[in-house]
Amino acid sequence: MLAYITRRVVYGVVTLLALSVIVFALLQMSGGGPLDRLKLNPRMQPYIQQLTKQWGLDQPVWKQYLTWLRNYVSPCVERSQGCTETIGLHNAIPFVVLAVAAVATVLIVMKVRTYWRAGLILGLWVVALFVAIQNMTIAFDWGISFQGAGPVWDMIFSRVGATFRLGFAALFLALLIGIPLGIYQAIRQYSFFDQLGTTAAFVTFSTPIFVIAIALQLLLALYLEKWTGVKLFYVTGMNSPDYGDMNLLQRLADILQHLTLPALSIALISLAGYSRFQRASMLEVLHSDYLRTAKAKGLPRRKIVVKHALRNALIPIVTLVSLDIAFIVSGAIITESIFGWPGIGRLYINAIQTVDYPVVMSIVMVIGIGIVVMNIVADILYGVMDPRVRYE
Amino acid sequence: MPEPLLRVEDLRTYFATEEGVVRAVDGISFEMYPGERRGVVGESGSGKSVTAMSIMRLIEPPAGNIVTGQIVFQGTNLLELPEDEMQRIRGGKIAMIFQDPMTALNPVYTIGDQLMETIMLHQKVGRAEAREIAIKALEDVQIPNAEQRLGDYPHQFSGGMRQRVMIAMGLSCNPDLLIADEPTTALDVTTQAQIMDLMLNLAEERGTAVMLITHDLGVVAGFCDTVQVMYAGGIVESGTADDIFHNPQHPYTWGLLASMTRLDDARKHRLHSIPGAPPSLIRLPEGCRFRPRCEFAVDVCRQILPVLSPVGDDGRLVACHRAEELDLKTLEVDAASSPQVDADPAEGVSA
Amino acid sequence: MSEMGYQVEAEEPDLALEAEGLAVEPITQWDLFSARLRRHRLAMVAAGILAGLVMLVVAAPWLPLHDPTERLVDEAGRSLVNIAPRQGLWLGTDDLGRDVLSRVIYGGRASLIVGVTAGILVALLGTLIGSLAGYYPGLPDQALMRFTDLVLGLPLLPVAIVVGRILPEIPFLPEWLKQGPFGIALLLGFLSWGSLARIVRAEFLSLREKEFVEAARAAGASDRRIVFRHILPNAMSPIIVTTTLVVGSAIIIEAALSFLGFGVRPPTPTWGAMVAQGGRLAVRGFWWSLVFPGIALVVTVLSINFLGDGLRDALDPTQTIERK
Repeated sequence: MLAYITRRVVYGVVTLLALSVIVFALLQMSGGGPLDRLKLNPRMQPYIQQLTKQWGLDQPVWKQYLTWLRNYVSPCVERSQGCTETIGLHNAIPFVVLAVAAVATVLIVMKVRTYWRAGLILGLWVVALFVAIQNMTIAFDWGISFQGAGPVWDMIFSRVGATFRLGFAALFLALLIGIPLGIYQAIRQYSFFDQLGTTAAFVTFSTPIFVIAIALQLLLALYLEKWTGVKLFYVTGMNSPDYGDMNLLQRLADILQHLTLPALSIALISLAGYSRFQRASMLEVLHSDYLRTAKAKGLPRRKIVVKHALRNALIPIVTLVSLDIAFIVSGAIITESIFGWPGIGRLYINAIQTVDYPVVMSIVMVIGIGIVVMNIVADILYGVMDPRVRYE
Repeated sequence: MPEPLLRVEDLRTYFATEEGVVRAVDGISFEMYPGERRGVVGESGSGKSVTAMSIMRLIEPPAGNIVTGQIVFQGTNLLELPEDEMQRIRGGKIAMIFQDPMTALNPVYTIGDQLMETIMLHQKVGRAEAREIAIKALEDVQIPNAEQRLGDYPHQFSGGMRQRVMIAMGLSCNPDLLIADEPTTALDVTTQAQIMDLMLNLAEERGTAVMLITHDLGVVAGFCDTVQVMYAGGIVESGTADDIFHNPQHPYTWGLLASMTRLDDARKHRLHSIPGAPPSLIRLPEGCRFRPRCEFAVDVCRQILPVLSPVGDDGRLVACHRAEELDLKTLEVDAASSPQVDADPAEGVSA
Repeated sequence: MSEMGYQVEAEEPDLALEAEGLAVEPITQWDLFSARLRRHRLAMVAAGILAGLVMLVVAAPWLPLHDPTERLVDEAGRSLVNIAPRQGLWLGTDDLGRDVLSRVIYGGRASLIVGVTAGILVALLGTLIGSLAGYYPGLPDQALMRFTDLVLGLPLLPVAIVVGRILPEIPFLPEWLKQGPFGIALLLGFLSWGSLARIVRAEFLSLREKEFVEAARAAGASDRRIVFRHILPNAMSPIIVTTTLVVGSAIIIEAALSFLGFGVRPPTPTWGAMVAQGGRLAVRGFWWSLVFPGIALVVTVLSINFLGDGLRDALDPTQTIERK
């Protein structure tokens, strides 16, 4: 088990290194350096040389890359002007917490063999992540934005929450709707509802996310308001400007009014995939020998479906969700720019447009790390849910 | 004669497929008595398993349907019972053991969970008591360290051990009838006899009647009191095991017996095989269903489907127009008597 | 003997058995394939739509259409901006007075070129790398599969966006790669062959052990002959199905890139860019600039997916869901 996870982590790190080399090299191929645009501004002329030296742009490319890599993984104490100080031991609390949680997870998977261990692990990680984020005093030296927007770490750290909110809302919606839909379709195979669901899933799956996003924006916000006068959803931003003056209930409503449409845009496509997959997985289980055994035991139909079929049919969906994380991130990039959502996706598009090297590099790496971590988590979860899996 | 435990009358179970209606079980009738061990023999596709599934009412509409018939168990017609009452009978009064123990247990629950689930369902006992019963049941099927193994998952057991678990599960509620659908086919030859002995001894202790479905005549000869031979959805012959083995009256039974490998006369004769393959259950031949493969067929066989009717007075039933006149017992079993047999050995069907 | 591997031998029907209703009619693989595909009525409709689209797009220069980049004016010289669909301008005009019908058709060119080119590239690369890995176990297999894992691990859209953004600025590339759909097609092809390589490798691993391959090897067939005559033909169905689905996803990703402004560059019309522009116009009520390219995009991808689904069933009826 430990050897397996170690191997997965090593592969993950290699993938991330390759990703960083590829993107770094690509950005170098871009016409001219990052200062070309600044050179057009006469007032910036005096600073060009200083900036070139400060950012190490006069160094050979491989040296620039190594400098970037060293800085990227160097922690330091968070300061308003980038990283200047090194760290003390107390700054390591979040990492210690996460490491403890990881070890505890491995122990639980190996030692505890009850069916509620998935819940145990989930609870453990919710607490661990909460403590870690609360105590996060560390920053990483991810460079300074070439566009003068300050330290990249601060730019990303302040926006990552918005992207998490959008991504998790989308994932939650997709799971909440997609899985029951697929299960119901499997139980009522070939019914009208099943065929409707299959067709709808095909259409949704074939629709690009930006088409869905724009359609939702127009239909559920713009035209809905125009025709009925009801303003149900907002189409830009995360909060209304007067969010600060609202009471708790109004705030919640305001958040939902802003969140629903962008989250739904991402969720609809994933949802179609989940329902298809869940349907197939459930059908396979429904035709299995052990379900016949359960029937022959005299179990009521309800219990057969809920206890014996569902538990097995849900296992493969874990893999699907982990593969889907990359898709949700891609969806967030597109949706955030359509809905003016202040997350890292929109930041990424803006940074790409101006070829802001440090920002682009950092966001690509954040996305890469997120996908690698989620894949490993999903692999472990798979083993937690299926007692047959042994990691070798 | 006591009251029959189970009386099946003119049961017809059909399946709708894209190619047409499959008449998997087509009008069979038989009776079983308390404590009886009945062997149901036939090639695959002869309707053995569908008969069992029909008794348990595990045929799934819309594809599969019990079209007509009665299945009277302890005086009640199971086909007329509402679903919730049928659930009380399944696993309680009638238990079933399936062919492949590797896939018959739910992989994500411990065997303790799955055993106790059955026990609590049918015996109205609490968890602790169910656990005791489960341990006892595992000990009965000779699983060592029963108490510890209760917490193991199915994949931690070998095939033979899993089938023991299935037997424990089937017998844990002291059923009146145990249906075993090819319970040892998927197992090693060495464990087959052990498992069979174990199952039948336990059944005998409890006075449970056993319906043993198999294509292995040797197993039937060793373990059963009565035998019914099925072919293409119908019963062609039934009677006591002794009679059937020593005096087969239906050409199909005779063919099956003749194709068995017997240690005592090995090498004396070439192994007999029945020419051709069973007919499609969608387009059954006119008249007797066995007629296209029968060496003794005459004109009447081509037109009229023979009815299962008594031959002699020992309770023997045979469905053959020529049952009275043929004397299969004395017939020399020899390959030379059936010239088609060697034409294409691949088509021969070994039983 | 070399034919035996993948052709079903038609057996002489036994007349006597046939008379009894016992014989099985000889059926060739092709019969089965076409029967199953025909049962998928949707797949047939999809194939028809795609064929029509291809013809339309190829014949576009000879059709009586306005130039997709021409800004139309009426007789009095006033520009025809945001004109609703009407006779002669069947799908209306956009905010620059360009004919939407013509732009939708020419936009289909970009989409189809990207889809087909990326699909061909993926089929070639995926088959090549997958077969090499599957046929040569040990070090080549390990190395190729690690490389495949690496490519599969790259986040597709973020990387594609970077490449799409800087593609026109890369100095050593020829001009036709920088601006047009081919550059994007190559980019998407090089990023998406991973899953096909894995599938082909798995096919090779199982087919390599099959009796007919052993037989051919025992008969002294060369590696090349074994691969091309015996293994590849049997691995065709997953290759065809996967490639079909890759074509669909390449079209979607190209559209997303163009939507964000990092795909095929203007003035070449693309559906993605038209939807981006149409979204802004639809807010002002000019829905036609959005709806028609949007429908074209969805119908095309939908047709490809239906066709892929039909092919999957027709080529491989035993295929169930894939795990891991």
